[in-house]
Amino acid sequence: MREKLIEKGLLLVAFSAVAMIFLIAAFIFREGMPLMLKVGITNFIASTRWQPGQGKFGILPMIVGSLEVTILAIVIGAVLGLSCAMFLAEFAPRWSVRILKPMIELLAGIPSVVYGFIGVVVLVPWIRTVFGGPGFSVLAASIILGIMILPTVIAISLDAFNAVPPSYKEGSLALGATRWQTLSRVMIPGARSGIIAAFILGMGRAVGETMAVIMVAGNALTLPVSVLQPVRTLTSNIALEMGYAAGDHQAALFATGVVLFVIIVILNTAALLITRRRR
Amino acid sequence: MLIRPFVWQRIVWAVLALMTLATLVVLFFIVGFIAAKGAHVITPEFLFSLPERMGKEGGVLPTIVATLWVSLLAVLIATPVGVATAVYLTEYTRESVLTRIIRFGADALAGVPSIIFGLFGFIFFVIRLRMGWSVLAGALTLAIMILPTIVRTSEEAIRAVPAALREVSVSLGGTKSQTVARVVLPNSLPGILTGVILGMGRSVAETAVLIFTAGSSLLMPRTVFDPARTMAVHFYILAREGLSMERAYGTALLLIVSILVINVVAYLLMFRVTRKLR
Amino acid sequence: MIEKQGGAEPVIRYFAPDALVQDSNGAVREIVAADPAAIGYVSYGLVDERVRALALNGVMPTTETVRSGKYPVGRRFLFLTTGVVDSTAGHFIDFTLSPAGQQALAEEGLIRVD
Repeated sequence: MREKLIEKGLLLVAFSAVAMIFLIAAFIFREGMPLMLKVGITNFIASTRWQPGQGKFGILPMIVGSLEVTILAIVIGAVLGLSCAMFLAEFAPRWSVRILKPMIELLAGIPSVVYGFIGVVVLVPWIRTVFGGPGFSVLAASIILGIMILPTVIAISLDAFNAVPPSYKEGSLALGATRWQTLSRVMIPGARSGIIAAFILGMGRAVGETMAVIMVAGNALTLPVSVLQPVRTLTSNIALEMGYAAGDHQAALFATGVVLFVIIVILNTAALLITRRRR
Repeated sequence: MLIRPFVWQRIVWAVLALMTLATLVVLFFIVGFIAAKGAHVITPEFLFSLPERMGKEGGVLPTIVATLWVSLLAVLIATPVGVATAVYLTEYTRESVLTRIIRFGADALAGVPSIIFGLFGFIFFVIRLRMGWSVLAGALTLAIMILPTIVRTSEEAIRAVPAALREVSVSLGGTKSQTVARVVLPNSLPGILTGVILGMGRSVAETAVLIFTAGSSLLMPRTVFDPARTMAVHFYILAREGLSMERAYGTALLLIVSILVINVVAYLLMFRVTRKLR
Repeated sequence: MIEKQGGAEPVIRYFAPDALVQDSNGAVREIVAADPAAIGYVSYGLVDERVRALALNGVMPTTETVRSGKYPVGRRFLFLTTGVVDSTAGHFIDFTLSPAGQQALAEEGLIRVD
């Protein structure tokens, strides 16, 4: 009898833990949907005019901004991160990996505000001097984000490589392939789902990042055409104006949150489908 | 153009090594930069005195206290819930629709951006539940944020406990709950603690959530209902408002060192776990 | 700034869309200090030797010109309460308006009202 009680009790706790996500989603939707419907969903998503003072709420520049910055960040993070993971998995001596891997994972704990700050102090002036423009740009945000997701991409890709059955690797080498040939033709395809998972996790982190992006992206309301132009992301929009928004304006920020939510759900679902299919 | 395989491999090796070097240089530059600029700021005075002139002068004691409070409280709230969920998922059910819903919920929670947590915590805890900007509101919001981490690591730790131990307990007449409480949990403790400590590390680094839930008051928090400014928030404000770059770097260094220490402890625990299971 | 879009009615924009927006006064000051082509607006108390305050309508911003209203872009700071001024809030307002409070503000480069 007591056992049943304990079991039901644990179920209750587990359920409430999970109920949180639904609570949060419901909350954001409830605060944001009325405004979205009032302004018109297409208008909200497709209009380029964000002028809360005039009652204009169009977030297209922010959606494009978020996507541009995230995609570029994932490219940077993927190129550097995958290379690093490949090197650590195949070409680096064992002892160095045992030191480097934890070190890289420790760096994942550095607060985003620190990354952002260094971006402002070091990266932005550099971009301004070398490339022109204000320095606060898509490029700056993407580089900082790319660096921020490196530890995640490296760690998960490395695990993916290590998860490839040793027999694959040994078989390939036994057939006379070089380590690189083994890596590129056997290991990478073998670790593909894990690598994609790493990318998507990194992408998720990039889309959701707020503080670092606010500091280096410039937060202008233009639709960025060149990577040297300043940009405002969905997250920055919320964080910048939440402190003083009221009424419709505040609701519009929640609506921005709704769009953010939807984008992340799409990303995560894609991740789930891709990793499941490759099983 | 045909390049001999071993030559190609050399080229690739060089490219990858370069990328890896670049990565490491960047990551260590960040830490080194902060350390170089902030090391001389960290004195006992800095650590133990109160801030003056809104942080332009003085120390950072309230922020250290605030960070400890908020992150410890968050972990205190999240751990029982997370461990209970993990126990339920592993010990009490088989894979079913129910477990998949629970797992989906936990994973979904992990993907939510921090600013959304900030929004939610602000409107729900601070305003609707009338907690005001407070340690409690911040801790509750953070607890929800780190819940997935704790559930995941606890689940892994519990699953890693050998079935034999459970069977012995049952064969000696132990009930399910007794088995869990006296055999499974104690054996998975290091793994669970790892997740808890990682969650704490995340709480220490979090900024956006806490500005909107715990506020940014520089006063020493005396109760959980007082507002509090954590080190991360303090660094952000100092650096952005340009109040004191020196103290900003010092706070950043403190932050990084704290998080490093927290993560190292988590790693040591993890190694203890993996060594025990060999 | 008024812009025309196609044949539709003119759109009034109060801010250039490509204006950089920052999350604090200090950040704006940093940008202006570092970028020779930058111009921005910050609180008077934040002006330091790295940036130059500009004259408007021929009037330079100083404590006197802002107080007298000669400098056109000045605004008053507002205290907001929910109607009933309880003891703590009331005392704080009183302190701010007291000589000691005003002195503290002046020391930070802000404008006294007494």
